[in-house]
Amino acid sequence: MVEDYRQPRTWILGVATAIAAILALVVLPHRGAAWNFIFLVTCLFSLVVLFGTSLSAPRAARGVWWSMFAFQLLTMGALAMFEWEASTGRGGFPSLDDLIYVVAYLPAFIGLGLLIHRRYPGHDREAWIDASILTVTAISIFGLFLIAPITASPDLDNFSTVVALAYPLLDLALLATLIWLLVGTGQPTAALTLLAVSVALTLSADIFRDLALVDDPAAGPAWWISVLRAAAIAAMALAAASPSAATIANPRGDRAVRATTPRLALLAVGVLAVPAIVAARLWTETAGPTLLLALAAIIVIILAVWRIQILVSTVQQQRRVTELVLDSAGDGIVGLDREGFVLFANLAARRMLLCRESDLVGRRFHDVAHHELPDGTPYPWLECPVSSLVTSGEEAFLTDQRYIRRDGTAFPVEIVMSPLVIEGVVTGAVQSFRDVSERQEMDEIKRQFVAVVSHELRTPLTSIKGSLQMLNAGITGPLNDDQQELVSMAVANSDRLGKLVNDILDLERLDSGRMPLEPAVVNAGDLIDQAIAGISGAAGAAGIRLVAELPADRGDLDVHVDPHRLHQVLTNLLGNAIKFSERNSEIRATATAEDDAVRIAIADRGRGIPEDRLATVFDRFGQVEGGDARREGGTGLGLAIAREIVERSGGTISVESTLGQGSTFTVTLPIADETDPAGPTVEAVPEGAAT
Amino acid sequence: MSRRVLVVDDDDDVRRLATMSLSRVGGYDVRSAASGSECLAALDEEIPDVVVLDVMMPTMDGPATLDAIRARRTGYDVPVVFLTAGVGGADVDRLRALSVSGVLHKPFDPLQLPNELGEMLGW
Repeated sequence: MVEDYRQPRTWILGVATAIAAILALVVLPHRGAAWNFIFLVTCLFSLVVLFGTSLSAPRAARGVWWSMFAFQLLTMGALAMFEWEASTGRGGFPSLDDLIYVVAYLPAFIGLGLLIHRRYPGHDREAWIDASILTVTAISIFGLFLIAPITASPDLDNFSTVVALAYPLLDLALLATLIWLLVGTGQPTAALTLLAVSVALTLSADIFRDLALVDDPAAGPAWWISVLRAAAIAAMALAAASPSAATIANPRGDRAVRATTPRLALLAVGVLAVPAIVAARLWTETAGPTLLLALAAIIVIILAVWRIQILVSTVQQQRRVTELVLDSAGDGIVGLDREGFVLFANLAARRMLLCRESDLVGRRFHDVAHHELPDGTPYPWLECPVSSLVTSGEEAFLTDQRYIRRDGTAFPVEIVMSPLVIEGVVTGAVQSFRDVSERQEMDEIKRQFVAVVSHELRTPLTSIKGSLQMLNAGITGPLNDDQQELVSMAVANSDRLGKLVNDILDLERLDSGRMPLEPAVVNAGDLIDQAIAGISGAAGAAGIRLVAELPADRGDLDVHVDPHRLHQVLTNLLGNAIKFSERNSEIRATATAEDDAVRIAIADRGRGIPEDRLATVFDRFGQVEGGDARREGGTGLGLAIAREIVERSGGTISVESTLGQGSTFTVTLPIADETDPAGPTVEAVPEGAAT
Repeated sequence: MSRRVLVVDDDDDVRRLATMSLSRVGGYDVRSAASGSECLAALDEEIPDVVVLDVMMPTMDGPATLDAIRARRTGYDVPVVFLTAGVGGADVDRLRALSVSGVLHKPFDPLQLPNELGEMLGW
């Protein structure tokens, strides 16, 4: 049963019942048997639910609910005592019910104190100030309407005055606590809201009773005060029954929003109420604690000013943090409106452009820093891609742009454009740009280095290789067997060294993007024919047959690739197949048209590749066996280059193999689009630099 | 009378190897020069049937020497073939675009070099 009513559906039913009960209480004739019955049921329901929640709630919330249980129990005790006293004629003021009622506040304070302590840990200056403002306002109003009349009342003796004063003073304390609870609220849960409503209803009932006491200490409470109490009891029961009761004392996760409109409005009322009361007092010249009120007004105004100062400094601080973040960024960040005028420019942007903030902000960025093309001619705003992106609200990455510094010099930039969207509407763009001149210089240095290395390696290699080949061919006269063997060895290894230099340079140029692919429309069948023709000498020497299986109609085999590079790839794959094939075996090269690709397969019947090495054959120096490169005269880079070329051409390369039965390398290439602007079919012209 | 070839290369060994290849294997009448200016001096004496010109040379590189040859009063139309250690691709295309009969690559095969040269020139 304890767990049952915390199911959301049961809980909604409970809320409905409670509202119906309160309405019934309002409608029913006061003090009738039905009224008493419903009131009693409400009290019992509240006690049972509070007791159940207190037992089952987690440790953090348990203290809160036990305190609330005690508070309700004592309150009901006081009410019962009042009824008993009234029925036995022992009424009067003050009496035992008043004492019990005063004592009932103690657990209420403990419960709310625990709640505040658990829920709002840490230092919360704004909450303190806001609570103080509202509390001082409350003190002023209480002092004026409740406390002053009681102290001035001639009907009360000393003891009665103390008891009569205890009610509004305790209520004031309860109100201050409630205010604290509300102003510190992070995300209010149902349980927290209902608890606050319950305390507020109790407080209202008390205040009306206090007012009634001021008028006539001996009079009993009006009927609607009882309705308020019943509603307070019902709200407390619902709070305890709500699904969020268990988490009521969990620490507030978020930082409460300090400047919501309702909150600021409430604070404004709190701030204005006190001077208004003071003004009213002075105007009517009625007696009252005017000095006290004036003091309250001053305190409230000081607190309000402090609060405003905190609000302003918070905003300023947030702005400083934002600026600091932007200024700490290494990239230039510039905010533009839809017309391309600069809204803000961070430190890096100003430094790179040698501009002060005033040189940029409020001016059109294009006119300041992007108005000239590399050749010095004006760059029209309408042709500028940065400018068009500002209005279109698209994201883009721009390269090959030049920005102009304030002193007229220019530097190459890369730009990232992102739209500036406020509530779904494109209001401009943020561009972040980076000076890439250093990187371009580094690229140039690297390019020169590679060119020099290439030259410096190839020149001695030319002499070594050439001399050995001349010796080997017997141009300078016959060699004896030992000499011939040594020279052959030297020739083979100088060949390998030459290939290695070529492959390393190829890879470097592929990596650095300096081997631009020049795609053209070529026929895959022709590519295969040419590769086979180019390598048939080596195949013949190894006693291996090369077979091209191509469809009769080659019309579907047109692909869009760089013919020189693809020739290099196919020659490499065929060369590998020859190396790893047995003498007298066969290598098949096939080409088939697929939906949007042409598949080229080169299948050998060689020794195959072990399964665990299939994944790495395309890696650099990823040969199946460490000694392969040496023994077979390869470099270990051929397949890496092949993969690089094929993937950069928009194709794929893969391998399937069965150990001992052979391997099949498959290359897919993008077909030539008929609407392709690449132009007419280009003859596949193999270049000498095959691997 | 055999074809006359002028080999221009700043590297002594490469120059000697090319000379030996073209004369011993190809049977051409080969003279050599170690720089662009030596090449021009040699052209003053005699205009060969072809100039095999290294691309990367100090002070006056291949293209500069080519310009100087084309600017001569005599022998300005002598066929020129570049000999490059460059890696191909765009660089080679740029060389081909100049007024040359062809581009040979280093390292070259001295047994094939005379043939390749002859094919380029239609000999």
